[in-house]
Amino acid sequence: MLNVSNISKEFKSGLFGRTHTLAVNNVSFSIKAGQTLGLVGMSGSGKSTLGRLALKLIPCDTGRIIFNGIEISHYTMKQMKKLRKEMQILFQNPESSLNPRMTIGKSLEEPYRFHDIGDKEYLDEQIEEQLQFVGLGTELLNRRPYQLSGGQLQRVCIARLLLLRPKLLVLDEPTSMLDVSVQAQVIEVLKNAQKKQGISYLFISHDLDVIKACSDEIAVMYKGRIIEQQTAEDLYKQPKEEYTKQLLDTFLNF
Amino acid sequence: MDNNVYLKDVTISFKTKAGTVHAVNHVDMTFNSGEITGMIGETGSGKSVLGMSVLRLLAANSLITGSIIYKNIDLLQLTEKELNQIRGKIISFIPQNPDAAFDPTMTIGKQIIEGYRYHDKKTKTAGISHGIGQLQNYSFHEPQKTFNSYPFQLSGGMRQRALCAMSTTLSPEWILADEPTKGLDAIIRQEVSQVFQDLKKITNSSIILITHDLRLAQRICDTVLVLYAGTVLEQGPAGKIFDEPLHPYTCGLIDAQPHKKLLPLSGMPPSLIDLPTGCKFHPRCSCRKDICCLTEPALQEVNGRWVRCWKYA
Amino acid sequence: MVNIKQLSIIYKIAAFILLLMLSGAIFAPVIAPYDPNQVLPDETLQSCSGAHLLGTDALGRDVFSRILYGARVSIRFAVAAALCTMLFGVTLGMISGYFGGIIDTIIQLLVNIFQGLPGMSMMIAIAGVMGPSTASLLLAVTLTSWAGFSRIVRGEVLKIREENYIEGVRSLGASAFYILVHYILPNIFNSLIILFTVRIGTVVLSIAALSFLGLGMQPPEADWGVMINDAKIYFRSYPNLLLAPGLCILALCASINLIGDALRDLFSIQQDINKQYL
Repeated sequence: MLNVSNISKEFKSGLFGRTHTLAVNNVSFSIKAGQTLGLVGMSGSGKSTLGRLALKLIPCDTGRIIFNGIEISHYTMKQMKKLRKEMQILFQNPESSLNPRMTIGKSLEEPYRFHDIGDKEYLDEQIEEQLQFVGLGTELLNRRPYQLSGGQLQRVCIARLLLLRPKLLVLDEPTSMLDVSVQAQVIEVLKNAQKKQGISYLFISHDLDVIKACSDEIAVMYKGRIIEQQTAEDLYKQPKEEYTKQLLDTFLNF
Repeated sequence: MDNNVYLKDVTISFKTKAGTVHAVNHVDMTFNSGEITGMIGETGSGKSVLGMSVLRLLAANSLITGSIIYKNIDLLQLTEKELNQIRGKIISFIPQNPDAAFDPTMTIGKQIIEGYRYHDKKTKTAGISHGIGQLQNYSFHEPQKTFNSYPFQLSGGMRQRALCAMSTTLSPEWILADEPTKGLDAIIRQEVSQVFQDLKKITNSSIILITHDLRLAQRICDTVLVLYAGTVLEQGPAGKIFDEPLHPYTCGLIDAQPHKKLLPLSGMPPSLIDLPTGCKFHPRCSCRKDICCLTEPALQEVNGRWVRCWKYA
Repeated sequence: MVNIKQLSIIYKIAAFILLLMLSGAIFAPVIAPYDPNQVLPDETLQSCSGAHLLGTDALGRDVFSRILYGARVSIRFAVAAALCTMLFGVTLGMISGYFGGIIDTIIQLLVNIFQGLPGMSMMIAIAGVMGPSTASLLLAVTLTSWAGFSRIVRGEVLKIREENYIEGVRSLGASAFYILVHYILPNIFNSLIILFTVRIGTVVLSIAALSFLGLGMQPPEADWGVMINDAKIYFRSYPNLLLAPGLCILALCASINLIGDALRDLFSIQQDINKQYL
């Protein structure tokens, strides 16, 4: 589904761009169709940057990205537009993921403004269906984001993405701002969506418990590199790298 | 006279455009001194509001009734001036976000000794030596260097440490911490929990911990209080509550954790404007009986702790 | 809940004064006892009386009527000028903030140049070169004030651009134009209203100053600046001629600025409350 090889990204900051930070350093990974790759790492390890690079939301310096058999590394923003439908991102903080000035209904209609999907009737039907799928009612359509709880907002965001029938979703810490009980609800919705639509996930998180519960394979990221990648079971049983061991120790003994 | 904080029939509401928000409803309880008391609950359970009410750090449109007694003084009756003598010195507050709690343009040291100099009218040199000692207590290896550095030069865990150092410069008897681990990654979370354990040891103070991080509560709290829709549903020793929870809501919260069953609690927390009748949790409860919808159960003692549920009545 | 009722009394007084002036301006033809430009040779330089509430000027024109019509001129022009400034400033500010890069650099260079020039002298120069007319005044005011406006807008845009919801809709495939109109503009709207209000006050002052110098509105137009200019010779013996338009300018500008402050308080508090409890 997605094949990323040797990509790097350097950020320049400071006066005259003197400070160079290598956020992502020569990283390769691939995600199989309908599967979840968990990407785990601590803050500042470059995992969020990697997620955005894979979607070409920010351009990478070097490396190749192959999505669904097509090489997209050199695509311009215009060429990407057609593919946008198929690859999407879900953010960490649901409270800033929707335009605060728009009603929920307007926000949900947006995917249709940019892509030719169907007529108005079909649209309303779809919105209702997706809202139901994520466990919300249509009475929310006239409300504004600040009137909803974090969990509800995150589900609205998921419904908005599902409307496009994406093939790949990058989930950037989708539950780290939510309560435990709500976290379980959101993860359930995401898992159901994967089962129903066969979406591939790149699940980014620092919570090893959540990653373990959600992923088929797990990649561990440290200082801009993926230091090891294994199936979920193997990683928790016998981590290869010292850093992974430490991470697991810290977390699981907590 | 003991140093406990007694809450008697505390009710807090807010008047808003949409109606009156009943954030906290008739809470009767005691925060025991010398312990870490955890207040756990979902967003909107009233845990932050209840915590803040002890220091009366609430918005202007809030309405508090009842009383909060500390050493025979009702904190809710004090004037703003009298309260300022208590804030920081006797009860101190550690805000949620260490990034936002520091002024980015001032050195850590300057901010740490600010309260000390304000309350005790000390000289600058006394302040500096006190501040450095304070940083030493919180195991900064180079306190002198940290003292002169700016907030952005510290890592997340160190910043939380410095924040604790700042909040406890006046050696308060009570410390109120609001969601100290929200949004932090595993390693920093580990550090923070260590900080709180140290905090209790160093300052010998009592801590009220507002959090929805169940693992943190399980690890460091002595007593735990489960809040739901502004009401206490269960209260007791942390070990007992986490090992064998009694209230269906507590069970649900524990099962929802990713390392347990990751089982979602059905439904959503009720609107605080339009609270359900009877037991506040009944619309989401799996063991609901008829009586649950009609009358709210009282808090009663079961196996050495307190539960508000008809199952145990 | 903080609402209009809980605002300080001073804001309410400001609102009352503004309302009074607005209705005076709108209903000037009904309220005014005389034609503002009607010359009464027999009744020159009278002091306040029942027939002439604020007296008459050197040509025997009724000051009260002129004040009412003057409010019309000032407010109408100020709103027009503020709108022009806003249109120009907001467009450039949004483009500059959203696209960044070379476009931003060029626009910011222009902003710096315009902000570096002394505003009043510029205005006098433009009005002087183009000759006194409403169009040249409008141009003078717009050219000297768009820069500050666009700089503030750019700052706001830079702040909002980093929000997740912008990145989200971009990844949905939205065009820059769509984002600017549907996302950026509504989210800076509150700040724009405040800026717009305060700008009106500033324009009233500038126009009065230009008119006083003879470069703004031209006599016999009933404009407050023109009135002050006319009155300056007589102000020792007939202070009412100077005080009436002067106080009106003061009251109008002060109340507009206060209302700008009140709006800012209202907007910011409302946002906090929404976040906290709902």
